Amino acid sequence: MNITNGKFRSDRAKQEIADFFGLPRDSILDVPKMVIVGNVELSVENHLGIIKYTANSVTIAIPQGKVTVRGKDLVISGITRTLMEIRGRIESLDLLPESD
Amino acid sequence: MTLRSLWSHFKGYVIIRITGKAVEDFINQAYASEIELWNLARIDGKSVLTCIYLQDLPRAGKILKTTNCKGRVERRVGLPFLIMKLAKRKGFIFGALLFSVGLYVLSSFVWFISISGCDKISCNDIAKFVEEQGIKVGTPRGRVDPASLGKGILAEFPSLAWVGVNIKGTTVSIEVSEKTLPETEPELTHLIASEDALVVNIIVFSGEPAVNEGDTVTRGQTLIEGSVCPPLGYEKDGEEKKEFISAKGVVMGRVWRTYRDSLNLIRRLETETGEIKRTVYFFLGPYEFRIGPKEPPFKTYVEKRSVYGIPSLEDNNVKSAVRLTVIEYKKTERSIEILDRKEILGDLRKKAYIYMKAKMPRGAKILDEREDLEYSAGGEWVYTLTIETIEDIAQEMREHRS
Repeated sequence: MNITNGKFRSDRAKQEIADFFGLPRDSILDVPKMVIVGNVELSVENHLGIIKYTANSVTIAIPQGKVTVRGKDLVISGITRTLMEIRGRIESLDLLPESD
Repeated sequence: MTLRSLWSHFKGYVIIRITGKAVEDFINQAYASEIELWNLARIDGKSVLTCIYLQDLPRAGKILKTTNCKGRVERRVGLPFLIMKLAKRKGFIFGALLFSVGLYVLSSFVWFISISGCDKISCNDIAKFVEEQGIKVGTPRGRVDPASLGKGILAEFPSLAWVGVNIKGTTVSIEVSEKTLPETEPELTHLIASEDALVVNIIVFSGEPAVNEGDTVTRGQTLIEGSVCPPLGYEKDGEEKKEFISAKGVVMGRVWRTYRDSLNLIRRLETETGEIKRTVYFFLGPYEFRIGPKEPPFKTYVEKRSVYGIPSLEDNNVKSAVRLTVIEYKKTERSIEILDRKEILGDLRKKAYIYMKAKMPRGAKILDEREDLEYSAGGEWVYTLTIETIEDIAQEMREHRS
């Protein structure tokens, strides 16, 4: 759930490698992959858990900080170690760094 | 219903209400310890509804305690709960048990006997025989021995070629296959002459002789006749009963066979010299072009004509408008070879004897052989071979009487 300054360097190195070999970044870098289907479904791979869950917002922990999904009637339709799926009427998606 | 929901119904799951201040902590710990949660829905500020598999409930209970949350089962869904519910109804269990026992008991009896493949034999006869063997509707299946039943049927009905007995479920299926016997049609046999001959000797085993010794007969003439007459002792009963008497006997006759052929002492030969000339015609609609000689350039030649054209689509007989004709003239030389008379005669004699041997029946005895070489009026040498044999000239001829 936290990024240290020491990790920053290795992250850049990884990014360079990913760029050089043309690899998808989510497989090398420790970043979440989010797929949003219209405004009805969001799936987050590589998440770190739920920070806060209400009917109108879900805050998800990711390695770089947190993601807040806002909307109406939000339902977590599935949650496993690797994947989280949220359904409902999604209105906004905020990516917030750790410091916020 | 998706596959996933079918699976979850099979495994059984519950919908629980989780109430507490740190519901999120419960969710995080649950998925971290491999408990699958789905369809989480926030109801109010304190509680969340979630689906959870029945097998995960004990572990989820522990997590509830550590996170200070309370859980309450709202609904139970799936097969395990259905079974639990049904298990409480003793009448139902008894019925299910009775059903399976009944099914098992009833399926161990023969309920159907099917017989197929009957054509001339009536299936009912076979069915009757099978029943006599103690196999009928209601017989326990174990008492039916297909092999011995098949053998029994085969022994009882001699006109059957094959019997197959199979037990499929509660059906005993008997397949039979009948022998196909040759049709016996009343027949009358006469003996006729196989060649033009002089009858030398006639021995009649049965039938009535139509010729005498010393007669000349032509090919196809009746020698011994078969007859139809009432059997012995029934002569006065009229035509009710008939007996066919086939002609049998030996008729020895003298047969003369001749082979005649002319000697061909001159052999005409035509050989190609290897000289070839070509003429090419090219037709383009009404126009015609020619390359090469117009007339054949040799006195004696072999002509080979090849036509190349665009095939006409409408009709094959119509010549195509654009075509190429190539005529090849191959020069030949004619020559005459005079052959050795002795050699030709030897060849002809061999040929004559082979021809004769093919014509003569087995057992024919050669009485006389005569060879002649004459100079005919046509200016040719003619060779004639005559062989006289004595042989059985009787040949069977069948006549159908029905």
